[in-house]
Amino acid sequence: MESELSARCHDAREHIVVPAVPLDAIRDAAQRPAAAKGRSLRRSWIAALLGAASLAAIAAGAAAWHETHVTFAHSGAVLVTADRMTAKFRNASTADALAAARSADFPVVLPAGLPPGSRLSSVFRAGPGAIVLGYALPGARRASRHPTFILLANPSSVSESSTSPAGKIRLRMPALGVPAFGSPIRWRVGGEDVIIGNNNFTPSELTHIKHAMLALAR
Amino acid sequence: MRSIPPHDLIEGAQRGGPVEIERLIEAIWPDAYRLAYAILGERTGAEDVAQEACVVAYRTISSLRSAAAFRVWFYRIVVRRASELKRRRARGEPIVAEPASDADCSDTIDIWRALAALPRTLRDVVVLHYFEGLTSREIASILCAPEGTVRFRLMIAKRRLRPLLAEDPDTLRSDREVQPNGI
Repeated sequence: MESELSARCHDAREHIVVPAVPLDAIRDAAQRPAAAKGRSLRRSWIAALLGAASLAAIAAGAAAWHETHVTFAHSGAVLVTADRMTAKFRNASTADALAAARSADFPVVLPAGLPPGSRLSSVFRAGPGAIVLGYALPGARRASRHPTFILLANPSSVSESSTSPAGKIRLRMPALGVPAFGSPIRWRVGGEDVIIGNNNFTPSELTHIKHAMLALAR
Repeated sequence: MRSIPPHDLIEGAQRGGPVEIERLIEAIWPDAYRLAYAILGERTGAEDVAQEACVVAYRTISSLRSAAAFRVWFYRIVVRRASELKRRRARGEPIVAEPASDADCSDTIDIWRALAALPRTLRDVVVLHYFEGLTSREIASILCAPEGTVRFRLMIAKRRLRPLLAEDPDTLRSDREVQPNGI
């Protein structure tokens, strides 16, 4: 089979009629990069300006609201909308999480009892009503996945509706690990709602986190 | 590229001007076209892809660090361009395998039809291995896939090609009938 297939493929290859090399067209196309690059640079500038303008428009439109909304899409994803959002990616520290907790309008209990080796990777402040913390979990399998997000929200900002307000900055927590059309894991600690969108935790780890946070709140 | 262009031709193109680059383009054109044709199974697309790959090579040959890496580098460009074109065009359409030449060679037509019945990932490794004579390591480097994956795909492809090449050409399955989640 091997040698027969090789022979047939070789034969088929040899039967391909190759057209003449379009050298002029290749040369013309190859010598046009500067103009094309200039055009694409202009395009990216225009796109950046338009993007900035739309962000400004969104911010201006949202200035009338000072609320944070947490809603749940039918897919199980969590949508956080706010008029102002700040983010620290990858190199976030506990200090960033503490700063976010101080600026929140609800009593924040930061996640506790996480599996040893978990590392805080990102902190999002979504208005005064919600904080999203991204964690890189230990172990090769979980580290290779997307970060695990824990949302801490003011219970008054959390809505059971699937429609989120338009015109605000929106953050979407993926629904990984959530059963299709299921709801994310959620519990209340004092005056705070804890929501886990993409669950990479084991059931025992979740129970441990919940108990540790409840103990802190007391 | 069953016949690799001589190193001095590649090095000349890397260091030299348009004349040297065009000499290299003339040398690699047939291989670029054949590879693109084998992946796409149609002439117009193959010509477009080979031309685009040659334009990229013309522009960026000076950035190639080693002449020894030319074959893998250039094939990667062709394969990527062909895959892009195939994705853009196909959108579920099966590839219509045209006989590559006017010569009525039933064996050759069989192999094209059998190739058209393979999913893209399997077809690519078959083309690179059996048509172009590349090793699984070289294919892995071109497709940016682990070498074991390439060998596995080759094994699966052979297993699927065996009945296809043995059957009557009229009963060959179309691309859509092949398991889309095969490999």
